[in-house]
Amino acid sequence: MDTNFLNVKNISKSYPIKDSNSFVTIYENVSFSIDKGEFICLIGHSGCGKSTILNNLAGLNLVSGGSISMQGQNVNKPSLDRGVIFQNHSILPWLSVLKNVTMAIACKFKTMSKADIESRAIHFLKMVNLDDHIHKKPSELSGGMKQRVGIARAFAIEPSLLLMDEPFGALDALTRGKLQDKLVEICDKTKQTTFMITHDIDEAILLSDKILLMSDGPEARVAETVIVDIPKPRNRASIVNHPAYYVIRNYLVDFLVNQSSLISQKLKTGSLSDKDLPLTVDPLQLKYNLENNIINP
Amino acid sequence: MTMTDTRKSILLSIGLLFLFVFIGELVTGDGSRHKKNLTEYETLMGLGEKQAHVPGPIEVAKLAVKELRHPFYDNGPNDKGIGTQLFFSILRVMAGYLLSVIIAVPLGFLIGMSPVFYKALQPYIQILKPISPLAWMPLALFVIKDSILSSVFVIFICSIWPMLINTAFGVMSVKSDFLNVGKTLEMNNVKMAFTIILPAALPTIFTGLRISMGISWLVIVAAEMLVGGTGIGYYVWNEWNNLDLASVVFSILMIGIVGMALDAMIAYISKYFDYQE
Amino acid sequence: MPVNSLDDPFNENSDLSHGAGCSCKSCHSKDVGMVENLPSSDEDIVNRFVETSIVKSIFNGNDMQRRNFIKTVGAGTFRAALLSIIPLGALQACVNDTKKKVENGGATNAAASKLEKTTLNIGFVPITCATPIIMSKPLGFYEKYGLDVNVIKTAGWAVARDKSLNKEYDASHMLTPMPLAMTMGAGSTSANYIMPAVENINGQAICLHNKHKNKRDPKMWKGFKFGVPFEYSMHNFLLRYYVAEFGLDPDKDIQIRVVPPPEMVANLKAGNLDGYLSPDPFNQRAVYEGVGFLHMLTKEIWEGHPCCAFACSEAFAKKHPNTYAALFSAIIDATNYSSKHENRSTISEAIAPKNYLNQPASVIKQVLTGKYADGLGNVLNEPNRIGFDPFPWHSMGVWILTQMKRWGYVKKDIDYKKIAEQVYLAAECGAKMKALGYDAPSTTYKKHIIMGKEFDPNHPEDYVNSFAIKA
Ligand SMILES: Nc1ncnc2c1ncn2[C@@H]1O[C@H](COP(=O)(O)OP(=O)(O)OP(=O)(O)O)[C@@H](O)[C@H]1O
Ligand SMILES: [Mg+2]
Ligand SMILES: [Zn+2]
Ligand SMILES: [Zn+2]
Repeated sequence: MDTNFLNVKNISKSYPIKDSNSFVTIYENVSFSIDKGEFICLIGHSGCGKSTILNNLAGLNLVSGGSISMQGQNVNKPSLDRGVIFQNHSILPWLSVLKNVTMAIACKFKTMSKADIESRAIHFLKMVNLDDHIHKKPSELSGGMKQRVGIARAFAIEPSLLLMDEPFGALDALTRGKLQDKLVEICDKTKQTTFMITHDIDEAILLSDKILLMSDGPEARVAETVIVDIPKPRNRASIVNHPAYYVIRNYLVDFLVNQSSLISQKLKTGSLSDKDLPLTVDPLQLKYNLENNIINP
Repeated sequence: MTMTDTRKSILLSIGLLFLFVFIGELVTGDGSRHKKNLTEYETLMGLGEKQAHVPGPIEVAKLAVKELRHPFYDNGPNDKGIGTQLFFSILRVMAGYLLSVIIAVPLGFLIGMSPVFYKALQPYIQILKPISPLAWMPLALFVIKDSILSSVFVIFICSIWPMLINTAFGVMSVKSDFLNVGKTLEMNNVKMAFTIILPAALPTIFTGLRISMGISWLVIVAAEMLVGGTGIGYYVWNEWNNLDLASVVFSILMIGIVGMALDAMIAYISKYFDYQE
Repeated sequence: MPVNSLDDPFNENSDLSHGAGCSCKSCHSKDVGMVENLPSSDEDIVNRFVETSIVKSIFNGNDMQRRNFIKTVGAGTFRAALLSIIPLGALQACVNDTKKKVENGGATNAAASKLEKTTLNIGFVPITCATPIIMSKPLGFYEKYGLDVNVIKTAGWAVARDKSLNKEYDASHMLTPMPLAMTMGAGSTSANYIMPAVENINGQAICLHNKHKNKRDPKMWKGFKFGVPFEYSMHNFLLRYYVAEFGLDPDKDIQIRVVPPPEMVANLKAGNLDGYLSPDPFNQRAVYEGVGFLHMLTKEIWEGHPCCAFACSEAFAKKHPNTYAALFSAIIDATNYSSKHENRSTISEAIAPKNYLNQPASVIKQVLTGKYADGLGNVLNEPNRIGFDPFPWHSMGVWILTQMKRWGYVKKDIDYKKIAEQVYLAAECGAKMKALGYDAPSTTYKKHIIMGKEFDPNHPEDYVNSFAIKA
């Protein structure tokens, strides 16, 4: 019996190789869990399979092996319980900002009146500061504004689990920072359970309770779980002053630069076994180890 | 004061028109052979009358004024005004065109939804698409046994391919992100078709509709020249028989103008369904 | 020397030129409502035409007809002139004459009321051969027999055939070989067609491009591209016959292309054709446009050859016997009217507008009156350049079939006479002509002379085999 909100057990994904009978395994033996109210980030090199995992969680793409369950229910198709913010915002360009959100709300709350749907949409658009632009078409919006519509749309349907695939990947640093602040604010307020993919280490530390680290593909794994033990609410300006911040940051950089490829090599040679994965890393422990010159095992 | 580009281009357009009229008048004659005191032979050779000739712009303009003053005159079944003829042609085009919209858009939609179906039908579509309208005509006449319905059929069969291909292509190339939006909102197939796929594919579909309208208008002229009776194609043919090139040029202009109007009409409608990403 | 069955068919020696001042017995006795002296000028002829028609319409008391007429001739001037010219007494003098005629024609009011179908569509290709079919409309011959006919211009023979097969046309102007071919299923689906009447005799010509003015000997035509209006046409068969007599194989030594008549001149001008054997007015139009010249008239190949026909499906005639009879009568009347030389100038004016031939009246007039420029500098006078004679000689049908056999359009052995008799309703036509008060031949076969060679319809197969050049 799983007590966790979301349970991912030994999932793998493989695709047939074109013009041959063999398969390529994108990742395998991936297991992790998410508790209610938790904010999880997934970090890994491009192409290792992050989006694939997110799509598995969304139910848009089915796993080849293993199982995913949410609140005891097997995940095998998309559901309104899981909201998705896509890598490239995916706002419907033929609908106005408002319609993009009302359409989603109408799908979720089938009995809600038109007026209620609209006021709800406006409420969530206000939350992302778009209430002055509700009648604009997406083509009239900046990239950051479009992404905010996506956020409003996802939050407006109150999903049990929010899945975000590099939501701010395409934005400039300033806009990204502002949106991160917004997200921190909203998540603190709503205690939204969230699974997010990012390439931005600072963003991951700012937002997450846990960070999942993926080794390089193919046959990637979720190799480590880094606990971000920095108290919430957090603040982009002050978080850097927290003693754990740079410890975690350096650790993540080291993982991406050195460890991710090393781990996949070790898995191939057999010097590392799947049953040891994922390693759970505690920053306080790290800090202690560092201060006492204990070499990381 | 500097001129805007629009004003410059309008002035240039007008200038070109004047140049065209000027050169046109220079290089054309009025077909009369300017002879007096004709012998009997010369009279019979038509030397006292106007001959077939390439008309100048002014002659065509005069004719246009005359024809457009009474566009719906009726001098019997074989001689009706340009307005009546255009009306018949447009009616036939609309009938054939709407028929193919009714069939091609839903069918293209289904084909686009199923890649297997799309691939299976490709060879047939590719073979049928380039067939000349006039090649269909004898077959249509033989099978349908009615020349008006046959020209409607020929419009139908020639305009259906761009619509079918564009609709299928538009549906097929709807971005998977848009489809995923629908899926995560738990839309069923019907809702997905109407709220995501159709609006996403409409600009592509309209491109097909516009191409087809152009083809229809080309085809009707050819078809009517072949089977005659009524319509702008018949009008051209009838004037050509008499080597009355001024009327031929005039009807060519009318064909162009109506063709442009039909295209503008579709373009205007399509604006309401267009979007930019 | 033409032999027109509208004239005395047994008097082979009568010289019937039917000029404007013709004083022969048949012209006098049959002219509808004409009681005065013959007109002497063109203007008088026009007035005659108007008078004649008005007399008829007054007699019939049919206002529709009168309006129709005025619309066609298109002139308030005519009407004004008419009122001052026509003496009422003259009109009344004609009434009895005309009344008798209508009764003889079998289209009494009682019969008219039994018409199975009164609104008909009849196709025509815009050439002078179609004159009787066209003229029946403005002259009111159709109306006289209780028919409301739309004469519909048709782009070419294939379309005329298809629209007839499709029943869009109840009857149509065709080429005399077409109903034979259609009945045999040659070149189209097989459907039983009947040809109650020939439209015109003669009236075609070989027209060459001006650049060939010094190539008058057909032996010099090797490699020429010729246009004919249709495969199953007298034009095709006469051209083949003609060049073959000069030792050219029409399938090897020249190219023969099917070109719709109205497109002949444009093609000649464009150099796509070296010449054509085509219906008029397109031969004369080529001369008029300074593009070509008349090498010869087809009457010089076969004096009195048939050309175009009035045809319909056997099914139409069976299903609508009264309508068919009425239509037949109208056509015979119109053919008779057209055969009168004194009517030709008037006809030229009437069929020139866009609704009919859409050609300069001066061109049509040269064809119909036979006074024409040949494009070589001569004015020729050949009143019988075109004639109108409804009688569909079975022997003509047999000749056409021999040529279809000769050139390989029919491969199998055929019973020439049986087919000719099935399709060409010579006896019926003769009876109808007599009923309407015209003379008609009492036989349906005769020998024909084509380029000096005799054709005996009793030995068609021998005739086919007698030719050195054949397919
Ligand atoms: N339909 C497919 N068929 C075959 N291979 C696929 C398919 N979809 C994805 N892949 C492969 O799976 C791997 C993982 O892709 P995925 O999109 O999950 O990467 P990612 O980690 O999200 O990368 P990025 O950070 O660039 O977004 C890639 O190597 C990709 O080529
Ligand atoms: Mg990705
Ligand atoms: Zn006479
Ligand atoms: Zn003819």
